[in-house]
Amino acid sequence: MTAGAKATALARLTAFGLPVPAGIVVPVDHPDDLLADAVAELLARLPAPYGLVARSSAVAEDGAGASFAGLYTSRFCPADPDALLEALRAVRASARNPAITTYGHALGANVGPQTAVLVQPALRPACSGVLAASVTDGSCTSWRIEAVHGLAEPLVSGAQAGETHTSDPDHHAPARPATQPLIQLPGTPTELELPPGEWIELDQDCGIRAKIQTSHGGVLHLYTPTALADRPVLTTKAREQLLAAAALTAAVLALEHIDIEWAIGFDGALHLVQARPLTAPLINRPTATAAQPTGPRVLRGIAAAPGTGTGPAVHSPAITDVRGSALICDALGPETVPTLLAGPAAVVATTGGELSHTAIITRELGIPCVTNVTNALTAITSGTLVEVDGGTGTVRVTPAIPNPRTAPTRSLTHVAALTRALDGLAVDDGRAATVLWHDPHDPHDPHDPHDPAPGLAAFGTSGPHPVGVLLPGSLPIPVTVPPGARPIRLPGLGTLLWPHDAPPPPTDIAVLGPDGQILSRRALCRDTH
Amino acid sequence: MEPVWKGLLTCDYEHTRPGSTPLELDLYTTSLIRWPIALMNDPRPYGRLRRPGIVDIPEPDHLALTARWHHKLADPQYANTMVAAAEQRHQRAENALTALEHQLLRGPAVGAQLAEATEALLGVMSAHIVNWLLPDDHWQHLLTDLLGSDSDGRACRLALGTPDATGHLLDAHLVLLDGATAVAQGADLATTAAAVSARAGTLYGDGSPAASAMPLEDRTRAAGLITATASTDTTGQRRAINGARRRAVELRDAWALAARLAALGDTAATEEVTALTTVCRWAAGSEETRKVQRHRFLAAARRWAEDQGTDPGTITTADLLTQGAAQ
Repeated sequence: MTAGAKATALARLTAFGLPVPAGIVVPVDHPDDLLADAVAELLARLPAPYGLVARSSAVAEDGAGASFAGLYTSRFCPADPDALLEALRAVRASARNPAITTYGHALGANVGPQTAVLVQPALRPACSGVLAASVTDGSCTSWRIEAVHGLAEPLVSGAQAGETHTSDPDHHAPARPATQPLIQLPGTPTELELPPGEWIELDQDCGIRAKIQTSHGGVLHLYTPTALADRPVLTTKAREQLLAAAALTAAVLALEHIDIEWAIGFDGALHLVQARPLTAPLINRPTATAAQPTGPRVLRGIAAAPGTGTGPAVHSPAITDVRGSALICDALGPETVPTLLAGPAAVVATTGGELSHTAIITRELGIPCVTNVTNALTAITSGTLVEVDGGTGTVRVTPAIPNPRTAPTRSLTHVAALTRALDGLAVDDGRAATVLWHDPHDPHDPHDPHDPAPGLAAFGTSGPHPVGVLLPGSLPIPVTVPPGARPIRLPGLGTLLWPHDAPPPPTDIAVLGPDGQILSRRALCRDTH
Repeated sequence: MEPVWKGLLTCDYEHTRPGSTPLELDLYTTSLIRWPIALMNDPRPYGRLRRPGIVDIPEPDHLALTARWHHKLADPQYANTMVAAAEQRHQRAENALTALEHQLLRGPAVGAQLAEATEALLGVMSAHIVNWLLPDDHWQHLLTDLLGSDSDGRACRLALGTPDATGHLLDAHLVLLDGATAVAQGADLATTAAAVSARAGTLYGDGSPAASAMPLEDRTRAAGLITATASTDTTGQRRAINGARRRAVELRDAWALAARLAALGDTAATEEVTALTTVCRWAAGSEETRKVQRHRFLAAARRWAEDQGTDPGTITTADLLTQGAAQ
């Protein structure tokens, strides 16, 4: 079986009239030094307006006990000799991936260090995806389909969640509309020469254009046109066609559980691009309701305002009763300020970066915020309980609101609190001392640069704790040390002017936040010589 | 910015700012190409215009210019100089916009003011690159190393991005609260609505005022919102905003000091922390001011076009600059 399992299965389907794209196999034992000859023949025999795809077809691949899914390589490439030769070599080299040997041994599969390569003209699909089904008496009885616009690569690689259809009887509607920012499609040679920003005709019949984000390896990466954004990926008719083909495929291959990769062209034609035994049991997720999470469990965006907030999702920023809720929105405008002042637990915005206006206003108001969660409005249904972490940029579906976290008890007994102003001197929070930061060389320092120890005379030891002045860095000790103070060199820190009549300085120095939390802490290494 | 394609980076405002007028696209592309001269007095252009809305930047130019800028951003003296120059450009734009708005109220002869406002705003707009060209990753690593954890590094960096002045969203609401309070205390509604509309009218609503007026540019709608707001707890809202702002600034300043303390003893790190503190604070404030000035400019340009019987959706920066030359 030098054609490998994938090509063999597809050949059987072709023989039974199932819609499999044409292809030519470079066998397992084809000599490396004759690959260039094979390339010439492949290019001559395969019409490829959108380039070619070279796909692994190893002997052990797609078996009943081990699929090797994702371990071998597939490569799209333009229809030119150099690109195809490189693709063939890459696919053949992937058979020597150590992970394949490890996986094969773990599942008892006999793995060789070679693979055949199935070369096919690249399809230009309107949509594609995967189907897993159990087949009984010629019908798919339990099944699950995931679909995306364009090529299925982002779905198969896990980079993109697909629109999901299942056989769950309570679940007739697609459970998870795919929010797909980019569509991948094989390009024509002309299209592949167009720079990012140019437009191509995506669906000529419907007059839909798409803008190029980039292209490489023969594949265009297109921004999903607005016209497709809200349109179902897979129609009911196409789904039924796909299920019928799956049942027939299972019969041809004598399988009860089948795993299929498929594609549907812009003309509506179905193509089967892979069929193999389903190696893991088919488990459909529970039925979704409005209050249950239906999207990915964790969404990622840009960390915009630190802190964590948990609450039920609310979609409209016009709603003012949002106290304790997670506000899911596009960019915020001034009309939403009353809503923000009502005390939402967090904000999740579909757009924006760290310096966006939404990010800045949430930082100003102290509301945890994640921006640029592009699919937040569709992936998080209203009422879904979410935990928003504005420090890591994640939005997580959570089963319950956690108990308030109590800050760890921190003792300031041995800590001098560092400050830029002595306004907070009256604070008696248990700190051992207050130290004023005074940098005479800093143009932004608020104190008189000619006064080496501003305020020291006024405070010293008269308050609830001693007050010193830190002259940071390697500044020379001031010629005039204020009366009642003594200089203490702190290697690595600077010079501490410390009241004579105070106890020795504490062991640590720290900066406290507005809530008294320690933001930064260092040891005071004293050198009094 | 799109991924590198055949040695080219592309800034595609057609994609990132869909529905923009030619004037809006001009403001972004022209100022993008000019940012090296605006921010570091480097005469090299940052790419070339492919068509309105799209700029192509050769990757070597991008790498050379950003590397030079990032190197300079580690120097506190450069940071102070750059920020001072940028603030002067904001002030120039403020003066030019005020003059333009004043002249528009008086009559149609606004060519010189229009050209000056256009040129001034282009200088301000160059700073929009702070949204993606700052060395954020490098700063994140630096602060993480100094403060001991990625989360503290990020919390510090985000806090440093808190502007000195109240951000424009809260500020616009404070303008509304002031108006509502004044009306509640007996001020004339129409006069107050005119004042609120002039100060914040271009900021309310979706989109931009380039092609059509924003909702609160209409004084009648402004009056309606003032009346509705007057029946709410305006004092409580103002107190909440001021308290939150005060706390945010305290947090920012505390993180700035925390980073300085952590960097003490390491001269290079101290310099970088000093510089990035200055730049982050400025960048946040600059973005807020830029939005307000951009909307004021677009609204003024639209009013000028309407006075001329020209479709505001077709004018360009060249049209506006030419007005100044014609006079």
